[in-house]
Amino acid sequence: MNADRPTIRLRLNDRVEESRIAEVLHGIEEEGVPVEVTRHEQLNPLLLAHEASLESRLGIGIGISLDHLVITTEKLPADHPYLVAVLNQSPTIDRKAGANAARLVKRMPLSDLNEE
Amino acid sequence: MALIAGIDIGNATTEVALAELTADAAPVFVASSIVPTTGIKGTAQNTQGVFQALTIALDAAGRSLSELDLIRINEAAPVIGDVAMETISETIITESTMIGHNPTTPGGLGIGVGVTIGIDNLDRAAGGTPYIVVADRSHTFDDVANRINAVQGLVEITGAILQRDDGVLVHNRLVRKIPIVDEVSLVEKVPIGMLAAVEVAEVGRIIETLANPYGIATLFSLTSDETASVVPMARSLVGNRSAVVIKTPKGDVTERRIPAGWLQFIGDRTSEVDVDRGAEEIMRVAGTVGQIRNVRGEPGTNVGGMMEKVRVVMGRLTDRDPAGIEVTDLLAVDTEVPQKVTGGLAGEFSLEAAVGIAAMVKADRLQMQRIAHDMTAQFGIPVEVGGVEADMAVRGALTTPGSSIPIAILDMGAGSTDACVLRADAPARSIHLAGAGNMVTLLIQSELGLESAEDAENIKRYPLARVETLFNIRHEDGTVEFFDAPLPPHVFARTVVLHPDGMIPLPLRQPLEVIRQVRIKAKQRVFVTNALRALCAVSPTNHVRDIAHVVLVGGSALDFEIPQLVTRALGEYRVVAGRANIRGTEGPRNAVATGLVLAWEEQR
Repeated sequence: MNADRPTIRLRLNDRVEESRIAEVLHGIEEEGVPVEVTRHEQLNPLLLAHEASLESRLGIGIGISLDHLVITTEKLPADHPYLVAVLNQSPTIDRKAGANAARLVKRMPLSDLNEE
Repeated sequence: MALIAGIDIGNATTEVALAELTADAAPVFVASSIVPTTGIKGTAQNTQGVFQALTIALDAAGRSLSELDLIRINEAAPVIGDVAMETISETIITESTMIGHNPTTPGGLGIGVGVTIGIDNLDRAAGGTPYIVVADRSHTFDDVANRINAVQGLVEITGAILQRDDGVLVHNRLVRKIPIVDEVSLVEKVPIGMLAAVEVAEVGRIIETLANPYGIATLFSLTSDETASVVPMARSLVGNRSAVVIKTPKGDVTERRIPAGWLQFIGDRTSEVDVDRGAEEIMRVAGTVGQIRNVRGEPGTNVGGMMEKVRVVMGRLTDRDPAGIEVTDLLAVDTEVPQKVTGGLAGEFSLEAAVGIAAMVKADRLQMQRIAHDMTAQFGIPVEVGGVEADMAVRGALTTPGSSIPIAILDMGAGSTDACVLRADAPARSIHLAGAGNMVTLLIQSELGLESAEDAENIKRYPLARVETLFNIRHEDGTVEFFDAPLPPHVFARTVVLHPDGMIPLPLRQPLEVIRQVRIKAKQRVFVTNALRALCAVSPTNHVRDIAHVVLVGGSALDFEIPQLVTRALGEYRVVAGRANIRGTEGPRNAVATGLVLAWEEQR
């Protein structure tokens, strides 16, 4: 894949199974924004998200580790991410979280991750 | 020396002017206060707000209630306003149907025409007929895409209608691309085995064929009569990026007009007008009967119900028989209200014609005396009812630096618009008209389809902005403002109201400019219309242009744009108009309360 392509970057901890992020990816895809997933040893989802956002040409990064999903932008410090959610609470919330990452790129109103 | 309080109980606020009076000297105002009016103006519940406002003013002056010698309350311009709204048209779809909810992410591109078929029955579909696939929530996007791909080459599929928000996901997995409309909430109501058309436009474009009656006619080979019947449907799809139209055998979409009824104005003469004719005609007829003594609506119609409601509410509030309540003024405004389309499949809305009405009711004079009585008993201080409210307002307005007799005031409140002219050689002339701030709120709420009156009130009172990025907003005048901390996710990319306590996101999809225009138009239709009506009525010649100077007072004169709108409109009649500054310190507030104190000084 071309490294210069504008994408959302998703950094995934090595121990999280691929199947657990399926709905997050579908949420991004439905909104029509490209995403690239990479695996890392880093366990801290805050750092994963922060580094992903710096790497993303769109400036939006997602970090997933343990049971946490973190969405942030390149303009925010690592310890103050923009959106956080518990991973796999429900397929709907995973999908909404993915859609929200894409909507940050598209500058469209976000869904509330606290309601189904 | 005497300490006296002038108290103005208005529809929205209760205001106090506290002054010390010494013989042979001008009154010295020591404090003012303002609180929301408790209960409806002119009713016993007002006492609570009066007490609260008095306490605030006395505290500010460092005085106690026992030091107060006299309270003067306004004669409560014997008028109370109420507003109501009724739609007079409705779009109902029968037999034939459409989907036009405009989901944000439909799939594919172009137009597909075919016969609707449930996705479970695809394997039984006959070849040679084009089909539109219909899939409910139980089918995931993988499932839908697999099933469509499986019959590739055997069955021709030209479009899809989905219940889930999966349009793009399905599209990305299809071998042969088709237009897809998703998020159809009532997908089980989509008729099966009927000819349908699905249209999806490119990003940033709007559909062209299904929003055009002749486009629909071409796709479905309609006769000219049938084409006429799809006009309301095509009209409601204008501006969409996606849509579905389904033709059923006896298909027709009708726009039903609900008989709105007539209004009868009883004055020096009696005249009736059909509400269907619109606000302009209603107001013209209202102007032909002379002094209005009562207004009745045709029993058994929408407008009859509206007028009945006003009477019942007013009757209950003033403790009188509703039948005896007389409506002494009425302001009608044309408006458009988004209404749910009956027979739509995804919660579509269509803009329907409606008329908004503000009515004014003559209240009981004795009512205010009763309140004064109650208050005397409660506070242990003499309470008297001062002169006519508009006269008091003029006296108060004259404390504005730079003003002098002859003067006209325009008191723009929440429930009524009042005007008064004072000339050196003639008694003051005043008038009370229905329609003010509350009517503006009602128009904003109904035209934008807002569920909460609070959102409408906020849109009325504060400017708008759009949150563009995490760190900046764009104000409605185009200027950009930056923030150090990121703006919270619930306001991101939304149109917000700039409330003093923070940004309030609006639950609206309309662009900022549309919301802004609704707000400005609502203010113009109520306040500019009423300013001209009121000034005509009090002008010595009944022409607006024969009034030279107008001072704007009242709560709505504090609005960030109403004074400019009125000033500009009056400028066309070469009338100089501007916002009052009561006592040089209070702005357009406190005119009546101040006037009440000054009037007592003069009558001594």
